[in-house]
Amino acid sequence: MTHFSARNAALLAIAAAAVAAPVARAQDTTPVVLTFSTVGDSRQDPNTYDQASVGAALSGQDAIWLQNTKAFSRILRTIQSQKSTMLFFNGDMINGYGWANYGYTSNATQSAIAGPVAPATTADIVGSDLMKHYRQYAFWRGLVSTLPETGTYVFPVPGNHETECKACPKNSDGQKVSKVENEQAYAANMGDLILDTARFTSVLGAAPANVNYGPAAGVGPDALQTDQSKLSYSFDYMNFHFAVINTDPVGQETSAPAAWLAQDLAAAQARGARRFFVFGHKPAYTYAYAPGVSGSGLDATPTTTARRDAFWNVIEQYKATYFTGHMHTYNISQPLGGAYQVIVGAGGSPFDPSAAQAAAGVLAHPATDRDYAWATVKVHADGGVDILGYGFSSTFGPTQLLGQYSIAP
Amino acid sequence: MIKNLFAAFVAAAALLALPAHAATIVDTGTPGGQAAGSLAFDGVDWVAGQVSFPKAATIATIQGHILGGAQGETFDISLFSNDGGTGPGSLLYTTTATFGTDGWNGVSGLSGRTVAAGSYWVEFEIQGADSLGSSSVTGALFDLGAPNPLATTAFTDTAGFSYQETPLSFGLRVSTVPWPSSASLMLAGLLLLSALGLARRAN
Repeated sequence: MTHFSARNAALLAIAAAAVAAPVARAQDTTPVVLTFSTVGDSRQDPNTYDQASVGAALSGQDAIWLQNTKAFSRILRTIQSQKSTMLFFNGDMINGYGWANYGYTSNATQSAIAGPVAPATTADIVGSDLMKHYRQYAFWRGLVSTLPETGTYVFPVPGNHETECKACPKNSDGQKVSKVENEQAYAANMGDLILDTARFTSVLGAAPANVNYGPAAGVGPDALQTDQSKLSYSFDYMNFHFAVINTDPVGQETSAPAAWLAQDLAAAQARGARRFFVFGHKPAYTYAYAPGVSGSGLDATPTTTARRDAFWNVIEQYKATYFTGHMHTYNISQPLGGAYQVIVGAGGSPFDPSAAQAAAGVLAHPATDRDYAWATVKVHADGGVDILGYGFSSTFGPTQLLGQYSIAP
Repeated sequence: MIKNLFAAFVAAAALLALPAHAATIVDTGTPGGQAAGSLAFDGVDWVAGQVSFPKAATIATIQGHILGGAQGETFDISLFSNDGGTGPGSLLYTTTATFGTDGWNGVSGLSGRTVAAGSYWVEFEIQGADSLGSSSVTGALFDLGAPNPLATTAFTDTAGFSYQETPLSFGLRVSTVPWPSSASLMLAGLLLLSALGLARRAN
C-alpha cells in the first residue's frame, strides 16, 4: 500500500467512525451569511525545521525570513478560493523569540543573549534581535498583504514567538518571559490592522462595531503590567462577536486575560450578540497527540492551569468557540463536552508530531496529526455554525476536508 | 448477381454503422461517499486521472464522483495529452458540465470528441464562471475509496497547472463509442458503391 493510499484508508476510517458516532445533527440549511478562516504558526525554525516535510535544507529565502512560504502561501490561496472574508492568524507569524530592545542579540540557537551593547558595526545592527523581529514581520506582512485587496481582512493574534524572549531568564513558574519591547514591536508591525476601519469596511461592507481594545498598563480587571491595546481586542460584526486575546502578556505569561474577556463577552451578550468567537495563541487544553506529551498550552503548570480554568469557564459560559495555535498540529475537540477548542497551529511551522513518531505508529490521529491545516468557519443565518477543518499532508499532498463540526443555532 | 451482392453489402454496412454500445474505458467503481477525508475541489484544487484508450474512439461520457454541489452548478472537464511528464500535457478539449446531485456527475454525448489510441489525462476544474460548490457548506469534494482506483492521478498543489503524480482513489468513469470498425465498414461500403457505379457505367 502506498503512502497516499494508506493515508486515504486512515481518513476513510475516521470518516466511518464519524458516521458511526452517536451524535448526529441535521444539516443547517439556512444560508451561510459569513465565512471566515483561521490558522496560526507559519514561522519557520532556523535550526529544527521539519526535514521530512521541507527537505534537508531550507530554501535561501526561508532561511533568511524564517517562513514556511510553500505551505503558508498555499493555505492562503485556498482560503481565498473558499471566499473567506476574514482571516484570523493565531500567532507565531515570526520566529522572533529574541529581545527586540536596543543592543540585544541572541545567538544562532537562541540559547544565549548578549546585551545591552551599543552596536559598533552594520553587522551588529543587522544581526540584532530588534532588526530580526522587524525583518521577519515585514516578510510575513508581505505574504498576507494582498488578502485585503482580494476580499479577506487579516486579524493578527500575538503568539509567544512575538512576545517572549527565549534566551532570557525564565520566570518563577518556569515559563519564558515576555518583554514589553517585543509587545511594542508587535504593535508597531501589526497595529495598523487593529483595526483599520476604512479597510475593514471596504472588505466587509460595514464597519466593526463596539470595538474594545485591551486595557492600558495596570488598568482593568486583570491588572496587566503593559499596554494591551494592540494585543487584545474585540469587535462586533453582523451581530457576531469576535475577541482576540494575548495569551502571553508581560508578567502573566501562559495566561489568558480571563477577567477582561468575561467583561467583554458580557457586554457583547447584553448587546444581543448571537455568537462568540475567541482567538488566542496557546491552547487551553494541550492535545496529547502521542504518549508522553506534556502540557504546552495554558495548562503548562499548576499555576497556569488554575488561570486556564477561569478562562475556560468564561468560554463555556458564553458557548464561545476558542480558536488557537501554538501546537503545530490540527485538532478539534470539546475539552469538557461543551465549547469547542480548535487547534490549527499547523500553518507551516515544524510539526510537533514528528516524522519518527508517525513512523513508529504512536500518533493519536495519524491521518491528520502531521497535516498543514486550517479551519474555515461558515456561520448560518440562524446562528448555526459549521467548523470545517482542511489540510494537506506534510508531503504536500492534495487538499482534503479533514473534518466537519456543527454547532446548533 | 451484382445487384444482390450490392444489397447485402449495403445492409451489412448499415447495420454495423449503427451507433455502437458505449465501451467502458475506465470505471473506478463508486467511492465511499464520505465527506471527511475527501479531496477539496475548488478554484485552486483540481484533480486529474490518466486514461488510456486502446484504440481510436469517440468519447461518449466522462463522469466524476462528486459531493457538495447544488443542482445546476457548473464545473469543467478537460482532456489533456500525456506528454510523459508528471501530469497533464497540452489541452485538447474543455467542456462544461452541470451538477445534478451528489454522486456521478459529468458530461455525455461529447460530439466530435475523438481521440487516437493512446494515453491522456482527464481533468476536473472549477474556473472562470464555474459555480460548483459555491452554495454548499463544505464546497465541492471528490470522495475517496473507489474500489478500482486509477493507477496514475494528479492534483494541483500550486496555482495553475503544476502537478505531481499520486494515486488518489477518487471516482472516474469514461466510456467511448468505438468508431474505427463501423467507420471502416462504411468506408468500404462507399468504395463498393463507387465500384458498382463504375461497373454499371462501364457496362
